[in-house]
Amino acid sequence: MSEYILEVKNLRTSFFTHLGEVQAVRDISYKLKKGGILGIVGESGSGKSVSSLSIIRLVDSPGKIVHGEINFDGIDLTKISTKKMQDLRGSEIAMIFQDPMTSLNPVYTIKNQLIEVIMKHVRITKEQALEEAKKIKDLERQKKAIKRIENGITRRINKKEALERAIYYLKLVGIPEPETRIKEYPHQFSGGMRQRALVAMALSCEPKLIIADEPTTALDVTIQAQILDLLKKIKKELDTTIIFITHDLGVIAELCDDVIVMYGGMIMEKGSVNDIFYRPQHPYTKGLHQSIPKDVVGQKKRLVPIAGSPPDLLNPPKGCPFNPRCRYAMEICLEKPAPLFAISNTQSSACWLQDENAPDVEGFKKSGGVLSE
Amino acid sequence: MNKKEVLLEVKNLKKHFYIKKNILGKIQKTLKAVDDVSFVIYQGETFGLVGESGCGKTTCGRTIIGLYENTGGEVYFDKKLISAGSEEYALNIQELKDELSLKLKKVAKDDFDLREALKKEYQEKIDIEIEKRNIAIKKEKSAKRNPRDIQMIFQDPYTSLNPRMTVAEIISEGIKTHKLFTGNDIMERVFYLLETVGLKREHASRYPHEFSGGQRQRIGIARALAMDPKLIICDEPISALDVSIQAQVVNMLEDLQDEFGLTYLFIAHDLSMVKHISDRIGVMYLGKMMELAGSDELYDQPLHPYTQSLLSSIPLPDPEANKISKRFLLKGEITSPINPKPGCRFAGRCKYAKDKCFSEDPLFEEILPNHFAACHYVKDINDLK
Ligand SMILES: Nc1ncnc2c1ncn2[C@@H]1O[C@H](COP(=O)(O)OP(=O)(O)OP(=O)(O)O)[C@@H](O)[C@H]1O
Ligand SMILES: Nc1ncnc2c1ncn2[C@@H]1O[C@H](COP(=O)(O)OP(=O)(O)O)[C@@H](O)[C@H]1O
Ligand code: SF4
Ligand code: SF4
Ligand SMILES: [Mg+2]
Ligand SMILES: [Mg+2]
Repeated sequence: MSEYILEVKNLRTSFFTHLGEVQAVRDISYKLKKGGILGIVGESGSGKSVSSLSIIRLVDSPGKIVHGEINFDGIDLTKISTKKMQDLRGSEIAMIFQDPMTSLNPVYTIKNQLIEVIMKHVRITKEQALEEAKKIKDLERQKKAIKRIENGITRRINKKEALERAIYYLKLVGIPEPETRIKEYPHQFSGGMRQRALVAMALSCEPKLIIADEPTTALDVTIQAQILDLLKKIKKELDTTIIFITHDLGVIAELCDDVIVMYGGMIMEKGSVNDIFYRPQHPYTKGLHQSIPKDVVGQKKRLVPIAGSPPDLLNPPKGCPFNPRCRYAMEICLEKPAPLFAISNTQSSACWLQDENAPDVEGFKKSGGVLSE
Repeated sequence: MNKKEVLLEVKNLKKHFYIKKNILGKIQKTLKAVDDVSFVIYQGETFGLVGESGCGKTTCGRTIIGLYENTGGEVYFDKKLISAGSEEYALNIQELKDELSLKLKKVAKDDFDLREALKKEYQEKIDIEIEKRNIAIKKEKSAKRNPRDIQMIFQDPYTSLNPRMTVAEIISEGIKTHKLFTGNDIMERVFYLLETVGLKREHASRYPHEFSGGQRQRIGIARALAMDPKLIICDEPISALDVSIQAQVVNMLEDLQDEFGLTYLFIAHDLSMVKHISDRIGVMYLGKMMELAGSDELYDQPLHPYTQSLLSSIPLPDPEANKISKRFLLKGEITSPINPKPGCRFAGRCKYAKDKCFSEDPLFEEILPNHFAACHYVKDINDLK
């Protein structure tokens, strides 16, 4: 088994609108190790959501994966049937969205919704099944049952078990008195509680991967702090892999182990959280850091904004998507997007300044022109 | 700035919304969006107003500028009374406004002419109520605001500009109404303002939809500047913008402040940006001011339990610092300002709360020099004498 749970290779996703092709994701590749939290950060429209929705094949029409492979636990998700994908969604890969109200059905109780998801996706474990099989009196039937179980087939979880599990996870995410509150409707929950219920729903099938798309953006900071705390606890206790999408650098620093910085549908830089915060190597990443206040008491530093505005993906600039706003842009930047150059074994930067022929401006050049694999 | 001149004084300001009337017109519930808030803003400074969503920041700003009818307390601008509250007339005025918004709901969104006509009709009725109110409280002469003095910039750069007007029309609307410039000078003024906010002359003839969020916010700022205001109320002017664009707008606001000697009331929930831009900061919770201090002092030494948890909840853009910083996680969530219970508004979530907190409103008092807080036990909690 590979140490990576997910490998995205040369993914391209476009929307074919009447105005033309919107290239939302333009050739991105990354690998995700088991058991960590990967942060994807970038400005509005940079392709964070579309790249993640592509993984679970939930891109709305007129959007389509145009190219690439998505290997999840040994299978290429772009190749499997729609039916197989539906089974995987929820059971192996779960998604948490920004607005909890759109993912919860207002006419059903929290209980109904949780139980439905659990019963659809969860089977009892081999151990439990064997335990049950032992109780079968008829030896012939018992033998058959055990054989089925050895072949990996166990029965679906029943309603009573599903309810127990739902309550267990609601308690885990900090819903007070879950036994009674589970009978309520989504509108009876506050915003923070709804988001917790969604986290519980995502966890309840014990997926290998959770994709959380700005799950705290709509929440107040005191509630955001509660949810971030919860996700950290989950990571520690459940060993789930999480992809966390946000535009907030503070949240990335607080929560994530690894970071991908996106811009104009491409990956600009990848690295460990410390790489990205203490040793950023891409002009865009550096620009982002200088755009946010980092004042120390008693002295205010003027912010250094990035001039201009993000690209129009209907008409992306040729070459590096950041070139119209980059003060280091060279001729080649206007021609070809830069490949990811290896800065270290954890960090890589998609910038021509890392090329062996590039001049060393302001100490950017770190890689010696070696491409990241 | 040794001798600080007070530009705006807000005294015991209240803005209550009355909801759910029964058939006799009796009020069933009162939503106390702003409830007895006092502060001053000095000439040339930036005063930040922070707090979680729904705590009353926007309502406070809108009541100061007169977009909402004041239901209690006074507002002074340049030492002159500009707004005085009265429950009775506020009720009448709110009724008129409710009627208007009902009617507006029935009119197509893009029928601007009819919308404007309705607004005008109701504004006249409302003005009559205001006159009556002023006479009743015998402050008719003084309680009048020069509409140019205070301007406002809104949070949403997409809905705050009329999509059917060109940029030039948007910016010059106020100039024309108040006859600040005439003839060719109007366009010259528009060009000057566009350049001041970092846009180009060519942009004058375009429509709002042709601009990005950051550029629209610049148009909104140009419109405010057109009136030569002394105070600008900025209601979350950067919340809807991308990080890299936020810095552009913040820097521009700082430059304009230096150039024109502007004073800002800066409303926001992004606490690190507020700290960066503000000289002093007020923290609101459920319609009440909880704490007020200089911005460095507030972040360094927050006294109120709510401010302490609020500030400790901010994730810092610094992984190592996050590991060592202590979080005071709050339990529960902000409750509703409808018929609030007596006592401290924060009591339900406060880990220091005692019996007294549930029955008596704490006073908003100066605890350290120029550092105010509203908490019964603030001295014990912070080991102050
Ligand atoms: N249904 C759609 N039709 C056409 N274009 C789309 C559609 N959905 C997304 N796009 C485009 O794809 C690009 C990437 O969008 P995406 O939603 O991934 O951005 P994001 O990084 O998640 O931004 P945000 O921070 O605003 O959520 C954008 O240019 C967007 O306009
Ligand atoms: N026009 C209105 N009618 C009734 N209630 C309102 C109105 N405007 C605001 N409120 C209520 O007043 C409270 C404070 O709102 P607001 O000032 O917008 O908060 P903030 O700007 O701090 O997020 C909220 O409970 C809000 O729902
Ligand atoms: S590749 Fe060129 S344009 Fe792009 S970030 Fe690097 S230097 Fe700037
Ligand atoms: S008055 Fe009481 S409840 Fe309110 S903040 Fe102080 S200790 Fe907490
Ligand atoms: Mg998104
Ligand atoms: Mg507001």
